[in-house]
Amino acid sequence: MKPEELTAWALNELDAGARSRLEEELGRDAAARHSAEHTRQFCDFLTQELRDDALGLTDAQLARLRGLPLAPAAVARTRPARQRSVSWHRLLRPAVVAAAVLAFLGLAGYLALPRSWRHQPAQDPRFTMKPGGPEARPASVKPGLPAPAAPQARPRSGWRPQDGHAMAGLPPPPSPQVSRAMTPPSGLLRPDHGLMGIAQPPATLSGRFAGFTPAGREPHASITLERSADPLGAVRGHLMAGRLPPPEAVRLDELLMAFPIPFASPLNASSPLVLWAQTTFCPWQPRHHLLVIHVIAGKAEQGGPPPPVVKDVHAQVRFNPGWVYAYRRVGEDGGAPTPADSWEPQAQREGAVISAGEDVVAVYELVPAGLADEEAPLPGDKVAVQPALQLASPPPAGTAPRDTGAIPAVTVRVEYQATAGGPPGSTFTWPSASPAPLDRANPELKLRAALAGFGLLLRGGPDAGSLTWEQVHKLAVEGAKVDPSGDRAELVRLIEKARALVGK
Amino acid sequence: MHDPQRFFHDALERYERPLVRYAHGYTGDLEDARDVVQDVFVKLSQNLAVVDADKLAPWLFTVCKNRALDHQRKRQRIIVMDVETLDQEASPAPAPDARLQASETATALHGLIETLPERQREAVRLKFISGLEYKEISQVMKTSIGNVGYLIHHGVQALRVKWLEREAGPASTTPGPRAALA
Repeated sequence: MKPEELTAWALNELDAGARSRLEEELGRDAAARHSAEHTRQFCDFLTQELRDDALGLTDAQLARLRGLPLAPAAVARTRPARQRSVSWHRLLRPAVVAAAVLAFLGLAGYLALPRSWRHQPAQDPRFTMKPGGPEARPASVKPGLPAPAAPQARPRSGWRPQDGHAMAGLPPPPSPQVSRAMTPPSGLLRPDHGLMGIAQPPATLSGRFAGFTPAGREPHASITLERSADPLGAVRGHLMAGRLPPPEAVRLDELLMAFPIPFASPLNASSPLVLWAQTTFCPWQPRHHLLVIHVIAGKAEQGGPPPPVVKDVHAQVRFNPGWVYAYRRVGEDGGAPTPADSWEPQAQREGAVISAGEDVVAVYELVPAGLADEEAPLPGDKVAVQPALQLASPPPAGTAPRDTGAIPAVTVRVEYQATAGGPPGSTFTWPSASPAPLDRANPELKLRAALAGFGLLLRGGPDAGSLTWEQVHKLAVEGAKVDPSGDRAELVRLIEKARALVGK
Repeated sequence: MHDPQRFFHDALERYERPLVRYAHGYTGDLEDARDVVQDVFVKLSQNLAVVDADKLAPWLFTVCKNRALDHQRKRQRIIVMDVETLDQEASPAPAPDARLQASETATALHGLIETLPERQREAVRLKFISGLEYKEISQVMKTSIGNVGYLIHHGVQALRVKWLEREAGPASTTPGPRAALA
């Protein structure tokens, strides 16, 4: 494959066929996959940092442009330029003649007036200017432009922010009726970023968002880093015995950690952990987003059981309420998620241990901000990428994207202590602000979506939303494309088994 | 036949911000960039009869670039004249530019983009700042889609190297999110 194809893949510029071929090659070539993923992350970083949607025309300029008269002649857009030129001269000639006639009539009429009428005193109110003189033209108005029309709401399709509000790769900010009473999370956001208007969310949500935690109330969550030795064990046992597992036997949080990511890098002493976070659209609730987080320890080179490489690991996720209205960790049953004690560094406290090659996975379902108005975009909608919001004050060292002073839609941070010694370490990542449509998501993301969907269907209940066994099967088949060890085919078989049992 | 009103408004909706960002890259001043883009749309309103809907993006970006360069040249002339006529009188502090208010990261990236070769720079700007697709970029730059891919790939790789070098500088002590980019 050509190197530029990897960049085109990272930028979603390949057509479906080329993309599929390339991903098959990536499935066989770990080094190329690694390189492609780094390129994608860097491209996402460039997009997020450079595409500043706050830079636009002013509302007054937009209103003027929207009010521009569009000449009827312009309707015939297919007319060749030469004909247009001829018609211009055709129109010009009669116009000049008409003007000359009017000027002549006007002069004649004037001369016909009584002399006393011709020399009207200048102070005659009919000839004086209005108080204050002629209206000043705003500095940015170009001659010939119409006066500003009344401000218009931006068309829905454009996904424009309210003034000063950054818009999203995630859906738009809360609708005005929702936003009036909102209080920004204290100390996080400047008051001029449009979040002032979001209504203070309740501590827990009900109705169709039951089980979700409002990000405006609790923007930080701790990620529990527990990993079962055999995440599929319980489900496999029931299915192989020819019965569906009871709902309580389906541990979604464990299921999601099945099949560790196959391309963990060799252990690097200076950065033993790698964070990987991606977003896509949620298969069971297409207007929601799925955030998949991997905390991956580098692979050890020697044989034997993998040694612990980091200890006292604390992972946290921060949701920017400007993008994320509410969230829930998939598989975290029993109410509200574990709130983070603080977004301040937590190292040097007792925490989880992760061994070489381990991949701890957390999946969150996100309700994008603005979803309450049912206008959030669906997969495939063209959306603007939103610039990051600014912090009210510079973040404490090591607590946020270090040199941006910005809050992305979602930030994931992990702190740890290497077992080999040395100072505490930390690492951050943030997924692209633009979720990948599920059908174009990479196989890893599809696999996690398949695992989550599998668990939800096995458990039954309303959380599975519109999901079908066919969708889950398709996701699993596509997710198993990257399967160097051949393990992932088991998921496809288990799904087929469960589907057959449900059919009975 | 297209509805010109809808065509114009759709163009305004789709391209207003990408054009302002693009013009800003040339003018370095947000107000100037807005004026340039306003002119572009005024010109579009006058040329709806001849603008091919399939080539709207290249038309807009070409006009925008020409206007922005004209603006830049005029401004340079004005600055030269001011300096001469004012006998190099010390100028007051410049008004804060929007770019200065942007994040440090974005500012640094803009600086790195300026160091790229001209064609790479243009392709990277159109892709990452304006958000155009390869096909649209190929039309704006009057080159093949394959060449756009080549330019963007090399531009991205060069930026990545420069960024990592910058991150590895003496000021960097904590492994940050960029570690994942290495």
